[in-house]
Amino acid sequence: MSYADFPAYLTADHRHCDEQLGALRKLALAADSATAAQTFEALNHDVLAHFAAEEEVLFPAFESATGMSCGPTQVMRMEHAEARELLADLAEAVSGQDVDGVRGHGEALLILLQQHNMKEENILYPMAYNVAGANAGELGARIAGRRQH
Amino acid sequence: MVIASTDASPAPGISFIHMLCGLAGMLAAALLLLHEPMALLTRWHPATLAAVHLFALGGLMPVMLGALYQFVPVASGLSLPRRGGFDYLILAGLMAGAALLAMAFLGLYADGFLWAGSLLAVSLATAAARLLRALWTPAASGVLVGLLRANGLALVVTLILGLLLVGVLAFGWPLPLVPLVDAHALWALAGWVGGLIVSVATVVVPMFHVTDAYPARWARVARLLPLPLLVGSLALWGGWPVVARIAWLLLALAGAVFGGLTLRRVLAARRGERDAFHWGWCGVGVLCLALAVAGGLATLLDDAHWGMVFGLLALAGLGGGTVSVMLYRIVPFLIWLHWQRANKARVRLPLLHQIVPERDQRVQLMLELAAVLLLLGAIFQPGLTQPAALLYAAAKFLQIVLLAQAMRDFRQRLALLRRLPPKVRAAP
Repeated sequence: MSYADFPAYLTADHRHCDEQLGALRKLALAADSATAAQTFEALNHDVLAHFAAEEEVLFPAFESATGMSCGPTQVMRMEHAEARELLADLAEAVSGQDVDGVRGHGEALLILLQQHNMKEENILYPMAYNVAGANAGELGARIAGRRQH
Repeated sequence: MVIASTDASPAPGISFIHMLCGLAGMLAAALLLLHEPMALLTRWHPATLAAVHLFALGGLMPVMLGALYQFVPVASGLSLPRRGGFDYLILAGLMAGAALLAMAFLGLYADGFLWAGSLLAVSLATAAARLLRALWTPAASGVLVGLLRANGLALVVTLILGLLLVGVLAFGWPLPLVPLVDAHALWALAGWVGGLIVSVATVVVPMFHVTDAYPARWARVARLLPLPLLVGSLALWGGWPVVARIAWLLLALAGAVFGGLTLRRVLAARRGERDAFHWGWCGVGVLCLALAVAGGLATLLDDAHWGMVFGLLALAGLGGGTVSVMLYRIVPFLIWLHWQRANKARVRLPLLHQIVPERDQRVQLMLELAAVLLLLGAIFQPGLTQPAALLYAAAKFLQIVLLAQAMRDFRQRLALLRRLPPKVRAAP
């Protein structure tokens, strides 16, 4: 996948995080708390790194190219904040080995992320890609760099 | 261009009222069958026609509209402006139109077809225009948006065919009744109900069950499904039954492919849970396969029973069943989301699966499945109609109670959360 195709890169990253969340819930239900804690650490890191790549690289580039700072990116930032709160709840449930909490917070996070991802994948990413034009490769490289940081 | 936040969607209370009204419409259809035990013998029985339209227009339609009011802004990224009073007016027109249509079929109200047709045409056309306007904006893109547009068009065709039938029944327009009824029923069942389920599944299954996406080739096929419907309808009209049969068999084949793809994905889901949502969607896959078999048999065999099996499986089985499974996901999530957003005090909220207790969901879904199986049996054994209708009514009543309790808790807790002072986080 080339850096220019950053929508595909970010979409694949969404799916990667979904898989981690599913694995976490499966481990919690199987009472494998040690592996569940490790899986949560990886999930938490990857989701937050994904958000950071968007908030620090993609959104500012989109806002500066379009002049829209109170448009789609504002809604996306708000939804990121909601997901961060849920990750905090999930962390508490994982560390307390609260299986019911992992199920409930995990499902809420999954649904919240899916409806958020749908907006990004169907609307924001294609728009940002179009706006980036010839700079898509350079922007994609910066996004991937921040995500893998 | 503004991506819609959930705040830009119609208030959840509006969707909740649509959903409860729809479930009440399904309950009313079951009660009608309880009163007319011979109804399932033929699709031309007045009580069957009344029950089918009560179920479809007064049951499935309001629930689907209520869900779409929340789903379309997420799918298209555009807000549906809040028009509380207007949406209630559309809902009232829809419910009154469905009731009047049922009364007209039962012969209880002579002018019923005319009034029902007028009310339904205005309310459905307004609702469809409101949704299609959001889906047809240039910014809306993606597979789902394309599929939802095709569903909207199927609804419009169904509505036009329905209005032609009103013309035949109310004014004696010289149009061929049986081909018109067949085309109307197929556009409603396969085009609107089936098409909407395919559209929703294309997104819900991969994203919410964490599965592989449906093959890209399937998405292209799904978008073309109105084509065999159109060819089949024109063939019925033109008197080419072989062409119509080929078109219906193609639709049945598409249903089987969709059922198989769905079942395979859900069984291999990586969501990490085997709860009511998981088994419910397995049921949707199995129902699609059963529906394809029934559709094929109804097309190939000249036996009216299989046409009834197809219709019942499509409406009460696939339509009603998918609605039930999705309501247990949509309602608790909307409740939780609005609580969470109002929860500035950061108090502990009920978990998602506690809002409508999962054990109760399973009991209700099993009751509903048993009732549908019994209703299918009643097509061949009319003595089963009354117990089947009673069981279905009980299942829907239980669902109304479960969801109404959750919605009452929603209002009470939301009012409480809004009164609590925000939590001040301690400095690190």
